[in-house]
Amino acid sequence: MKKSNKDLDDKMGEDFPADLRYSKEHEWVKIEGDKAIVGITDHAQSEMGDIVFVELPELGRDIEQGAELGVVESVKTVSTVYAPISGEVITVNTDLDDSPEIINSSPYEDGWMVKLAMSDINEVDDLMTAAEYMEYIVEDDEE
Amino acid sequence: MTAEGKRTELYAEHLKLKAKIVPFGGWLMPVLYTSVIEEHNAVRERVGLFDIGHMGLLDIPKAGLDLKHLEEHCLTRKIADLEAGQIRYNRLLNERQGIVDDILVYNYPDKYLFVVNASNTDKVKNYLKEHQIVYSEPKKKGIALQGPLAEKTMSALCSTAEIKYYRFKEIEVFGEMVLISRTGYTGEDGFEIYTEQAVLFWQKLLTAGAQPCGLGARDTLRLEAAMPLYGHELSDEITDEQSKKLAGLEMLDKAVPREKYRVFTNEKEIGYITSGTFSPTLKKAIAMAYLDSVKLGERVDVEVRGNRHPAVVVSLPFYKRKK
Repeated sequence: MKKSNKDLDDKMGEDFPADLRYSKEHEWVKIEGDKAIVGITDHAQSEMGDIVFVELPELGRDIEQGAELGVVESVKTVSTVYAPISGEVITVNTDLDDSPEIINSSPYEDGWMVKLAMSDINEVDDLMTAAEYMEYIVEDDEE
Repeated sequence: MTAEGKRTELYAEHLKLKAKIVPFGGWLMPVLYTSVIEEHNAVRERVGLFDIGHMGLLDIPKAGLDLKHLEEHCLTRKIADLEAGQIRYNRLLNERQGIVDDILVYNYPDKYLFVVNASNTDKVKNYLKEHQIVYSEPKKKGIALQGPLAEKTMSALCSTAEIKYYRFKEIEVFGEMVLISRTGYTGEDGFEIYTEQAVLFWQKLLTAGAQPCGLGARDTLRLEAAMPLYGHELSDEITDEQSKKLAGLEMLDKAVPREKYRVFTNEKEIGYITSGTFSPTLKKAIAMAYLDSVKLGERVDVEVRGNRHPAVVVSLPFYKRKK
């Protein structure tokens, strides 16, 4: 697999890149200056299974942290994707229109969903680190 | 994992294969092992193996049975005319003509075998008691081998070439008289095998090349074949007559229609979705729906998360195998 931090690869065989931040709703954020790239985590795609449809927001929309950013449908289920961070939608991954399954094969790279111009960089502090997220998932699974 | 439910004899086998387990009809069942689409395609193109140990089996001795009552007050189709070794799809009705369960009836010389839905087994047992129909529960548990290579795969254990569609035989395999029927819930050729050695058969058939398949693929396969699923297309409230109004919908965009989504023509609500999915074979979103008026080729809209998405009424089934 890609640039995963080996120490953070857990026993489930899922990937948790150390350079990303994570939300409780299983989105990831990659910070690039004042921009944020958002997608869903390896854990999320693995739980959902084969992804067959992705609904993305309109360009230019301002989205608040925690608001609905899009929808991901797998064969079995529908999941809402929430904005892990506030900002304006500046790019969406149009490759997902024809090939939504990219999220399954490459959740952290080719399967990215949205690029936001962040409105409050301090919100990054609300998000979990890879180690915290991994712990969060393990606890969640044991519940 | 805290989900509760009964476990089939194959539960440990599913864990060994790293299946994702979900509660279904009171049981803990594998929903998938690798991927729904991959398992679906394995059945359409090769051969897949399903645990159906959750299905209920009820033996009904013919001695003392009031067959006239059973046919006139309980079943939607006759069974008295069944030949030896023949199977017929049937439905049990309540006093309001609602569907209690949809079942397969196997005709033995001295008994009928009812194969009933897992989630309805207790209900059917109570129903039979109310109708003073005596039953017993055989120990055999089911596994289903489905796909174009099913007969070839079975030949590793025994010959099933002589078993015709919707017929069954009892064949001695591994020292046991095993019930093998040419039936299934996928729209492909295949067999349902009822045995007291489910683990042994499971392992042997995997070794013979079958791919383990979960309930996820079972659902997409039966939906493409337009086979109803109790709790979706059928219920205690839906009559046999109403169930004939089931229509097929093919979405014209990629939105996936799901159970209970509403269907419109122009602004008029005309019905609702009973089951919907992405069809791995057609590579389109499809659904079954109860619609007030059904015209093939008619353009309708399905409401998906508040937005209307275009669909067209198509004939069922969505998929029919080449013979």
